[in-house]
Amino acid sequence: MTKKQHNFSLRDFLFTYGFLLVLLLVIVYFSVTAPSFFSMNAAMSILHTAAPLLIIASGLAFVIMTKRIDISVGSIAYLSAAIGALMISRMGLPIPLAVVSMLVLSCLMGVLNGFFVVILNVNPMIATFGTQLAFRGIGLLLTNSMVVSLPRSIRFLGNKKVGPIYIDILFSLFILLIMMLIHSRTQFGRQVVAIGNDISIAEKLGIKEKRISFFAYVVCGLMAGIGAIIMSLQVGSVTPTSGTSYEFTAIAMLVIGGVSLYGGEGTILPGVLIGGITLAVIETGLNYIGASVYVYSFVRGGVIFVSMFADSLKTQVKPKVKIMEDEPTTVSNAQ
Amino acid sequence: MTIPYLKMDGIAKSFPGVQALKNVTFEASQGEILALVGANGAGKSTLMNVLGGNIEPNSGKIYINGKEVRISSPSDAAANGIAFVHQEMAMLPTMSIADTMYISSFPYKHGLIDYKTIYQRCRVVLKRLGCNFDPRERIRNISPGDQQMVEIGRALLHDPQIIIFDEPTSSLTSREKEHLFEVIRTLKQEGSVIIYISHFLDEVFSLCDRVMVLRNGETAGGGLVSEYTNRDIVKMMIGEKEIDTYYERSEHRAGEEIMRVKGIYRSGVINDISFSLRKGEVVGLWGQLGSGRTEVARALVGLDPIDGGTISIKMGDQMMPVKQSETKKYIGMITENRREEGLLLPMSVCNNMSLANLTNLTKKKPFSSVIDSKLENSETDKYVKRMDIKISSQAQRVETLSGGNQQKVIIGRWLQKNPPIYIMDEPTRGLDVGAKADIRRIISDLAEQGAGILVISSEIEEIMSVSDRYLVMKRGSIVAEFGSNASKEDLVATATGAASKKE
Repeated sequence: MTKKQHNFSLRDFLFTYGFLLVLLLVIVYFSVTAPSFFSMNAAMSILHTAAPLLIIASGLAFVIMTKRIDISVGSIAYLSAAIGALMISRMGLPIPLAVVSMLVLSCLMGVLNGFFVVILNVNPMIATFGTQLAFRGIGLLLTNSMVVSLPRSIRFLGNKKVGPIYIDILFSLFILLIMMLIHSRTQFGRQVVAIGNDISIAEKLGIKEKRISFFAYVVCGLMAGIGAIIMSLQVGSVTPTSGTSYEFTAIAMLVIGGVSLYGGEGTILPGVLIGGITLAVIETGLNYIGASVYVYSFVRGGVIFVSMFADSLKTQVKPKVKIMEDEPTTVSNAQ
Repeated sequence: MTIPYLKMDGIAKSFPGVQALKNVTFEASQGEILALVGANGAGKSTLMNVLGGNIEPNSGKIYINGKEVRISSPSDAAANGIAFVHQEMAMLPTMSIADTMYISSFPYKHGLIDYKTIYQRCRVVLKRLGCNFDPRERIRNISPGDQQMVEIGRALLHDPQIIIFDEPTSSLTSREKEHLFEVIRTLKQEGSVIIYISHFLDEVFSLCDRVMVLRNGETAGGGLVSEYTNRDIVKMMIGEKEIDTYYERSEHRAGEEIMRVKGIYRSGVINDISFSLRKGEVVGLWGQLGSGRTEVARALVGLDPIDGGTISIKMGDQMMPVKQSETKKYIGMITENRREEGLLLPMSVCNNMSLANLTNLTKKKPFSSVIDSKLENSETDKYVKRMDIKISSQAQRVETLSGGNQQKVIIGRWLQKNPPIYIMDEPTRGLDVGAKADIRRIISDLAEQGAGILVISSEIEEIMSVSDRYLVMKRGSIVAEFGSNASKEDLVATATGAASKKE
């Protein structure tokens, strides 16, 4: 009916596949500047680094898709990892029990966030900023700000490989797959996206907005807990700074991967995966070309800014316009 | 005669302060399109919301196919085969057509949403509406007309027997409207009961079989559309005996032209709006809800952008074209939502009233960026007295005032600034009779003192009691202009499109 629908638009193309393009450019750039970069080894180490963050980001994606935010994920990961490590190394609890407790605990932290944001209606940024401080505070208190090491018996898991591939890579891909199914093939996932489109419309359509949004925070907490397991296994211990600034790395992954901070937009696969890899490639690449550590922060900041700017441009694409019968363009189209 | 498929018997509903429906009885049969018409606030929406399960009536019964049914929630309504196509479309722009249709309840298979069945079903339903969409297409990529089809498609998913359309054409182009009418006729032939709510009588005549008119919450009449003329229906809408009564109002003497609007438009919202306003004149901008009257007002003061056209305002003794962003220097705008757009509720009466005039309330140099609070208080006091605003002190918070006094605070704000032109959008909405009269008196006074005033109101009595001239809007355009001798019937007929048909 309107011409626009069929025209190829460079703008739309860039917005849809832009993140793939960015990833490609980044890989090409580093492959040229650091020849050893383009190798299986580098690829594995990139995915290995990204693995825990991919899981955390996939949970955070649900919250962000409802147009809210959770900046406490790093602290959730830290606190549940710290408690898990204490249970195993200090209290000598069996490992499966410790793992289950960690996951339950991370869910509870999600419940708390959901309670503040969805039930008490506290601004999401402020509420989760508060819990971010509080969770880390509790963790530091419990560990006396000390490093808690994991026993040798499980530490090897963090760097175990099946063939050339680390098992944590396989594990996080598996989690992403499940999260993708939840996002795209369950009523919960679809309603999360609907809420991100417009809360009042979602409610009008009979969606139990509060319940779904609350549950999104719980899922987010749980994923931070699962991510925490891999995070601590990779290092072999939980340090007071474990999980620090994970929230921003995760948000950057999501935004680069096309999950809009304005809600209702984005995919887990390929979106979050590509976003995560892109960010990891940039950092590993900087490492390969021997850049200063201080450049990392600068580059990451720049990447976050650019991807968020692109995100904000994307939402300004079409103003809502009512069309009426005597509109001149429609008349000329009709003839 | 056979029993009608749907019967609503003796429905009454009151809201605090308003009797929205008084004992309305209403019937509809399968295979017919019944038009439900009435002026703004006649009770059409309330009646249909009762049927749709959104509102519970105080009394009355609903029968479907001769059996009494209870409808106390939208899901009850759906279970009884009632579907409601709302005026406001509930679309999810980033989601697919299929998701948007099924979002409240997806069918599952093997623990995951069964998209195969969903897509099939969507295609079938949309085909029935004459649409060949791919159900995977995103909503934001389809036109508003197509979105309307998706909205109807969602209503049809559960094979309803009774389908209510509430103003479905308000966002459609004329071709999309024709298509919608075809669809509705098809549904009728398939034996559905169609209830069609519309502001536009021309649509009623081209589409509907029977008409029922509501006035002030009561049935004002009805019957086969073919037995009525447009004027008959208009008469039923506004009441026989009131038809030629004139409203008491003060005549104002219009002076020289003060504002000239030429061809302003905004694609898809308002078209080619031209008119002029003179000193000491009150012009009523009249039209149905959604006719574009508020949008014109907002465009004139730069609240909404315009795509073209010029606004000229008298400066000295010349009409000067004024940039849209500058017009607010000359126009006092009183918006339709005083609580959301007009007032700073937690702030004091004094702060609210001085808001538009702060640049004139500063201390002398060199402290010219500091507000002189003594001056602010004395200025406020002047206008509080002049308009008889009931406040305990100037420090009283605006949110604690009654609606009428709040509205006076807004008007007082502009009086302080004393612009040559005022635009008032629904200035008396939600006010009691006394406050309404006060506001009307203030409007008259302003005109007598030489201001040019554009008034928008949904209440025809009100607009007739203050205006010297009328501009009638319909679908984003000014379709007629009347002098002060216009009758109520003229105004209603032009705004609903009835006048465009021959009798």
